[in-house]
Amino acid sequence: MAVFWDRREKPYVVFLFLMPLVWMVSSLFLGRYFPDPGKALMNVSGIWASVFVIAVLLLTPIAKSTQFRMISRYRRFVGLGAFMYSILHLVVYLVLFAGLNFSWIVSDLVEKPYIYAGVLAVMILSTLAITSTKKMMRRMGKNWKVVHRLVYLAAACIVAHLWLQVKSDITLAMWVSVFIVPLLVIRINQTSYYKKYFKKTLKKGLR
Amino acid sequence: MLIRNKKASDCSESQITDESVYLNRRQFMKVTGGVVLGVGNIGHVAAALQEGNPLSPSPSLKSSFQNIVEAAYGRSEKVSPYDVATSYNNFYEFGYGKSDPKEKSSQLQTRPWTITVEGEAGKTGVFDLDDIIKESLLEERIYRLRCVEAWSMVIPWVGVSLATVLKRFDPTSKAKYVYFETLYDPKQMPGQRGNGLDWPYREGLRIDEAMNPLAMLAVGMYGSILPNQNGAPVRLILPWKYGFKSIKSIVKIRFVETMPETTWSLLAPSEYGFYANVNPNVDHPRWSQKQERRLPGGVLFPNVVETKMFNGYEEDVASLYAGMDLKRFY
Repeated sequence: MAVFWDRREKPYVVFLFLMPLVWMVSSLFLGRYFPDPGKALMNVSGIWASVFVIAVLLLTPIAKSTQFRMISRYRRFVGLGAFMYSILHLVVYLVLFAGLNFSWIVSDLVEKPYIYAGVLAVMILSTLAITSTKKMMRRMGKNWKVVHRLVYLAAACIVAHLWLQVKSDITLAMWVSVFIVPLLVIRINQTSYYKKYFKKTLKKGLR
Repeated sequence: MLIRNKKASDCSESQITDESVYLNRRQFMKVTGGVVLGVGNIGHVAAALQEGNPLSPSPSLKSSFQNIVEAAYGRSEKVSPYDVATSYNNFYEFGYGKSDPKEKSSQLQTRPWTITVEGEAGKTGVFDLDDIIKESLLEERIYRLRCVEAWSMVIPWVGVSLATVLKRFDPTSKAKYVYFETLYDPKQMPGQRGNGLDWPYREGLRIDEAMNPLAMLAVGMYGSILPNQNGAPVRLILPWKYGFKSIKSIVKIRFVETMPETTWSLLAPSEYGFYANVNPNVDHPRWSQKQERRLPGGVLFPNVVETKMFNGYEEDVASLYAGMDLKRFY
């Protein structure tokens, strides 16, 4: 076990992270998403983006509280996975779902709040992906951590993105919330930054 | 019997199936499908019968289905393939997923089937569906179906004008609206065991909408009876309205004086109105209704079509809503 977890496992982990993509692309060309492939693939890619965001939020608490400390080195990997699947989700929406129909996309982007939430999440994940290199970490110094805490906002955006588009089936929105909401809540209690922030707002609220 | 009049609601040349493909399939189906099904006169439908196992009508109904009259509606449309129309459905009585209706509807017993007629009408009571079919001359009409979720198909329905059937029950002058109800039986309809919707599914029409010649009571599609997942054994087809208005597996018709409550407008009144007319100018709160994805789409690119006012049936139905603010009465 110890021998395996000496960074030589990384290629296997990358392969594992690419499995959903392989599955999606093969399903698409095998006709599993027929007759409305755009809609089906949009759902599946969105679910996988959420899974990776959930995973990245899970890594730190797991690494802190158990002997699996080595997994914290995968935060960047998992985060990049979330970025990749969120971009896939966006591209599927633009091309396979809306057919690059300009007026369709514009009216969605301009008028529909749940799209803002999704777009914001993709923008955050893209920023974090761009600033994920060691070079950027060094260059940004203390700010790096502050910026990368935006992942919590991206996670909240996913929850909003799902609840705002519920028709009558709440299954998906429920499941994603069940994972994301507690992972956000434990961070409110953990970080002194948020504690101070909450104390301030609470005092303001009580007055 | 077939009268061809090019109407505004008909499709453009570009949407017509290539003639050689069309004729080949047609010929092929005349020889094979027609024989297997025991139905004739299904020429237009044949073009779309590619995969799947079309059903056969029961022996007592066979003659009705052998004498289907081809109505002029949609003769130039490119019909969606049978397997698409029967495997991609919204029928929450069998689950939320698009493939649930096909997978979970086999337990539905559609024969014998009775319809209870109540309310403001001279002839009320319980009527056998097969009798209603036998008294009618079945018509095939090719209609565009536009779902509120912004996808659409073109489907050849078999049935009769709704007005013809409703008039047989002698509605009185008090019958200002017609109310319809789907079967409620959680044993046969697993989706009803959950409480996603307030069962049974309810729909309604203003009487003049119901009497419009475009409104259809369908008992079949693609030249034969309706598969369970498509609303067997009897459903409405209202091509100028979003698909959810076309209530499936109807067991009750009630003539009423006041506007009836309908399932979707009860669940989300700001999203689904009583009228639910297809209207590219009134968006759903969460998505645009200006375009639609005509199914089936390509592997990498959908077939995006501009949505037309009243789904392109403006000529036939616009007069019903003259003077109404369609942004308010959506």
